[in-house]
Amino acid sequence: MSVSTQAVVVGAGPAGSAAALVLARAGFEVVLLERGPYPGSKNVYGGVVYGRILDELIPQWWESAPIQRWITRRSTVVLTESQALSVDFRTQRWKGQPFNGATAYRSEFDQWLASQAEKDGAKLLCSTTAVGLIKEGGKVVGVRTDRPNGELYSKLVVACDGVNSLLAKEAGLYEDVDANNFTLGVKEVWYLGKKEIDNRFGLSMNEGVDIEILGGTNPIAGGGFIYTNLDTLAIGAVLRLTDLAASRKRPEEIVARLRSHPAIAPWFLGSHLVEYSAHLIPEGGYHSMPRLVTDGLLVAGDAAGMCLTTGIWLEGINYAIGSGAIAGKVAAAALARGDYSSSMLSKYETELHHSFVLGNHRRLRHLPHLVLSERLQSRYPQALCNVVESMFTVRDPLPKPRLSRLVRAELKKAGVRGTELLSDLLSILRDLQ
Amino acid sequence: MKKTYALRYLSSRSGSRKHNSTGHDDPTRSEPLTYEELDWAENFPLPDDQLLHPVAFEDRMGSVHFIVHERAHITIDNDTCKGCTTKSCVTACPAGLFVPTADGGILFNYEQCFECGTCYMICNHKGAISWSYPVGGYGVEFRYA
Repeated sequence: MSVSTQAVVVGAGPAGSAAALVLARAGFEVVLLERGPYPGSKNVYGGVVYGRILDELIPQWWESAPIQRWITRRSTVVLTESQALSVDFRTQRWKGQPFNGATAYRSEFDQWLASQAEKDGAKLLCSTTAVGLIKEGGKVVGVRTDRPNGELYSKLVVACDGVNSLLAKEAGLYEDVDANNFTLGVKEVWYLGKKEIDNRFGLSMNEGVDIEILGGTNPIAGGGFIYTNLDTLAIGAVLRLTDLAASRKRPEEIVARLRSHPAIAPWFLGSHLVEYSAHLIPEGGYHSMPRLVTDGLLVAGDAAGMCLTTGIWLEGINYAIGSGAIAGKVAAAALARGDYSSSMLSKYETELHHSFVLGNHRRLRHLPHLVLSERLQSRYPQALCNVVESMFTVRDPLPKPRLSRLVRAELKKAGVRGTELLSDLLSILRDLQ
Repeated sequence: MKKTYALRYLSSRSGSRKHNSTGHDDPTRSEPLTYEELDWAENFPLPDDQLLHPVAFEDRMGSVHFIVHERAHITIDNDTCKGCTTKSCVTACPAGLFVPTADGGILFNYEQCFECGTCYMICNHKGAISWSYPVGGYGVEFRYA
């Protein structure tokens, strides 16, 4: 007994649910497969959803989305072993409609997004793993699932099966997978209680803080994050896989060490661990993406490496939703025309380039590599913190230090050459301009 | 808090080779410490016994919910593992599922797998790890991630 439908979307994460929603809304039969017992049960992220991309898909989404807190405060922290330099920004604009970022648990958020697709007619099928593609004459014509007689035939398949995307690999869309382009995100969630979180982070009502950390994961290239949920704190480290392997350090020890930093530890006093988790992140950006279509198949979200990790911007869910929605739109157009060839589906790539998804990825393509470089990871943080510390250390009766001399001395001590600094500044400016 | 650490740093370093000549622990010295003498660049790591809120690994894993299927979704080729000298999987797996054995091989437990993919990505030996997802509805279930 095999089943046939117009479109199959594999994975009910943000990309898959967006694709299924758009397809269903266009009036097509779409089956949305999820291998977990419910959407979100397999998923891990840092902790912030940026909702602007939802405005068009789900008007007034903030009224129904399961949000923990609205981000009204964003800190960027540069850490060394003993120092911390923060740039702390707060705005009242982000606490009201149409909002900016929010914290949410994936188990709740992904279920909610999938339920929106179901409302429009998508058929969500949970506890079902797609184990392979069904091909006829080189074209993808469905997926094999692990249900008894679980062949699911379709005109089109949209693979939103996450960072490991076994389907995109099976279709030959990845030429080579380089572990350097992936990081391991290791996360802990600690219960502290709403009142304590409000007091410790200076928040009220459902305001939240987003803290991004550069440094603090030595000797592994990566970064850290802390987010406030309503009554829990999320803390995590993002670790480049190749460095993690070479360091022979345990990932949870890196997080524990970060959590024990003198600038961070006080926030966690008296809390207890609620959940430990880990997940891979595709960090390579534009250069590490696979081919996005083949006959009968489109790839979106993490499966296509669409996380944006550029130091100051760390976003994934919005890129997943954005790419999923465009995949759904192109898939709907293909179904309307009855043409499922890769040349028809290549409109997906064109549209992605004209959208924020590949538009931003292409423009910021040099940053992911730079952010994970040793200079950005440890040399600049050390020099920067030393300069600030020196500026604010009062050394009467000695004269105040001269900034230019101080900067030169610290860069030299950190082992940074002037030409390297210049070239790094230029590549940052080139991408950000 | 930072100050306490700075002071401890200074006192722990007093009398040590490099800073001896600067005499910063010499009470008769009239000059203040220069910034360079502090030598912050030589980072001092926090001793392990000062890690705050330590969590035993079993308690850490005990916080995660699993629905275990009777069939392993990941298998390893232990003959290949026996010939592997790096065994990066042992330290890198966030769930600590790869345990070195006395005969130089690896004992792998699939039951508490996060299904993240770290092991096959960092493995030096193609084909040593056969990696797939658990049967639908089984495996890890994250609730607060």
